[in-house]
Amino acid sequence: MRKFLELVRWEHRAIWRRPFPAALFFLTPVFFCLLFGAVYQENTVRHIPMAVYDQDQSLMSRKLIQIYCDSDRFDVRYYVHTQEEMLALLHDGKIQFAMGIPCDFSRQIELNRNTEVVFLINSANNIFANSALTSMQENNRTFSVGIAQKMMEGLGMLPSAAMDAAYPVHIGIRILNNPTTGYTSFMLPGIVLNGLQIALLLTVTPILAALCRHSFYGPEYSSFMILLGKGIPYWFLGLLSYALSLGGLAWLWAVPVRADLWKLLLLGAVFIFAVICVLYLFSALCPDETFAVQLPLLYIMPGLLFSGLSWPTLSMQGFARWYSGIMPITYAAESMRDLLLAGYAPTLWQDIHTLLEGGILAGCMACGIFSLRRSGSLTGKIKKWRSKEHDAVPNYKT
Amino acid sequence: MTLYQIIKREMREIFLQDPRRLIFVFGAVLLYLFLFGALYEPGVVKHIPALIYDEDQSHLSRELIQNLADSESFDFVCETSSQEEMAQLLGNKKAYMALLIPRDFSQQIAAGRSTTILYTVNGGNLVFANTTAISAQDIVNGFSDKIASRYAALRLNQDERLLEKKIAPVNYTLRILNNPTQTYLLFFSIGLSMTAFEQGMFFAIGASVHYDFKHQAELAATSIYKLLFGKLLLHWLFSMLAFAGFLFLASVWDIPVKASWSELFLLGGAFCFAVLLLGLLAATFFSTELKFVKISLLYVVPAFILSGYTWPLESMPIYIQVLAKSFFPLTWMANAMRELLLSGVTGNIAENVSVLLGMGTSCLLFTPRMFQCGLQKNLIKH
Repeated sequence: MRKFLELVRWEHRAIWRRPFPAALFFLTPVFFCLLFGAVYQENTVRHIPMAVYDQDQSLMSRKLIQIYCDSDRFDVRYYVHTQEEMLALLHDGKIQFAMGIPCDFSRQIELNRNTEVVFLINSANNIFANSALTSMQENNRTFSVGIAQKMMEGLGMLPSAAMDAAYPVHIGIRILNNPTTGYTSFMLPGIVLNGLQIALLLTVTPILAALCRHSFYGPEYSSFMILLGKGIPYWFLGLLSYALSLGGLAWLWAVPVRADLWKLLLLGAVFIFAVICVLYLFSALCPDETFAVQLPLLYIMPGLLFSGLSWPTLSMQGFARWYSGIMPITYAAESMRDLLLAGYAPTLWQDIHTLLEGGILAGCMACGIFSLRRSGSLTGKIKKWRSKEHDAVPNYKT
Repeated sequence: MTLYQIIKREMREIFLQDPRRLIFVFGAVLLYLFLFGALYEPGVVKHIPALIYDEDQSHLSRELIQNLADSESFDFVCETSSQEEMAQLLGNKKAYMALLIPRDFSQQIAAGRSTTILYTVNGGNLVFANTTAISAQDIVNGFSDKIASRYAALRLNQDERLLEKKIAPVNYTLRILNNPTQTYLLFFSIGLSMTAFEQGMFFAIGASVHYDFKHQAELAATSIYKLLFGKLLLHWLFSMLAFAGFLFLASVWDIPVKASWSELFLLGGAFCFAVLLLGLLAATFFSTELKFVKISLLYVVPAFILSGYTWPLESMPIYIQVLAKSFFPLTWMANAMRELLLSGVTGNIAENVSVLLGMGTSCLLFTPRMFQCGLQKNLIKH
């Protein structure tokens, strides 16, 4: 027990003795929270640059254009005079959205015939496209219903009856947990967890690889004791950093914290444990510290996108689903977001259980591999020491 | 050493002593293409589990449900019989979307009044919210127009087809350019691959720099400029080969390559130049390769997000935009690369290439001096 506590104390002092790694570790999740909170500050994509090609130039076409001008989703920046001009602006990236109104637009409507308005969206960036499509649907509906109401009034209906006749089925929208469909609440919790994961990657992964190369601890320190003793300070500081980041999410970026704090901290604690164990495994397998930090590039870095936080797990197939299943962040990111936004996570206990199981498994494998490598290098050291002793003793026989 | 000897030495390091560098340059971009190609292979999110709570149970409500059921975006997994059950199933994530048709749905419509269907969605994951909202609104609006014409025709004793033109006189035609099916594969995988490519180049050049720091005896009387030129030339050539490999393999995931190869290689070449020089300069600041690797890993996530590849640059605060454009070559590469591949053109390729070359050149101004300092620091240390 004394040796174990010594280990924990040494490691804790070692972390703080070198300010650079300590800052790297402690501040990375906080830094991610601050930086990406600032990036997503706007919360929704607005002011999508837009061009209008109005061939009709009538009162009716201007009413339609006015609806788009009044919308904060769109920014009508160009009024073009040819289709080629419109396409050129789209290709040059000066606009993302364009509306083309035909020359007989109002005339066709007055004659009770159908007319067509063309919309062009640059969907290379889906975020622009989704934002534009949602708002476009609402704007067009507003315009169409307005015209239809007037038509019905023209047939002798009173205004309110005409509105009901033109638009009998409304759709009421209720968005749970993230009612403003804000990007901050959607992505920031996961990004903070990813920051925490990266911080652990940078600090924990070199440990076992370094110990395998240089045997700092003699056989009186068991491998399990070393793993535990060295891991505890990082686990504790990681939890502190996570708690600080949660504070940043709530106070700086107004992400709601609806669940009990202990549930969030418990999830964080178990997640950090699982990540440390997985990183120990990488470390135990690698020949040196540098490679130990580089190897998880294929595992830790894609973690956020494979976590189901944005691209949902139910849309993953085959290899992707399996790969997602072996990442600790998959069992933490969504539950963390659910706890924050909804106040509960339906799979919380299941996820905690999986993280614990996975962590213990990875930790045991890491311990086993580390022990094997250690015994090889320790045996070598003992042999070397013994051969030095043998050389020092005079050979009285000769 | 002559330039030839420098290049030969670098080749020996790369192929014999530290083949990881080649693995990083080639492996990172190709493996990420594979990984995210596999992740986003379905393309779009479909068949989102949904609930229906039909309080009306009329012919009209069932017609609406049938229209909704034909959508690929969601799948009705359950029909509930109470609001509490609906809320519980949504809360347990057995479904992510629910539609409630009120009790007096058909009655209100028959009486010439309007009625409201309640669409509830779990907004935690915006992908669900966006996908289902657009689809549900489209279907319900189309149904509303159909019902409006039908009932107005009965009420006013007019031809339903004529009334359709009055109810919905404007057809809105949508042309989605560059990514017509809005698949996430085309949206995400190109930028993610370029991010990994950048990281791979950082690792490779960082390893090269620190190898020189540790083996200074081999560099006796070699001109720093010649050494750096040889190092850069070789790494740039390998990077361009990796970039070409990416363009070939992109077709495996049906990523189109619509731009001319000259434009693609011009942009790719400028990007590699900027990244290698940035990596080279940054590596000289650190006394060990491990420290440099750690910092470069911290750089990668901000580089991707600040590039404006997903969340648009225009929606970021001005100071973040300035930061992104000044210190992150990926900002000038990722979007342009996507546009070139998907549409064949990009806004101003000359501007992007110039900025990338400018970034690289700015780093080049300081690199020889910093490299010299690094050599001296390591000499003292060892």
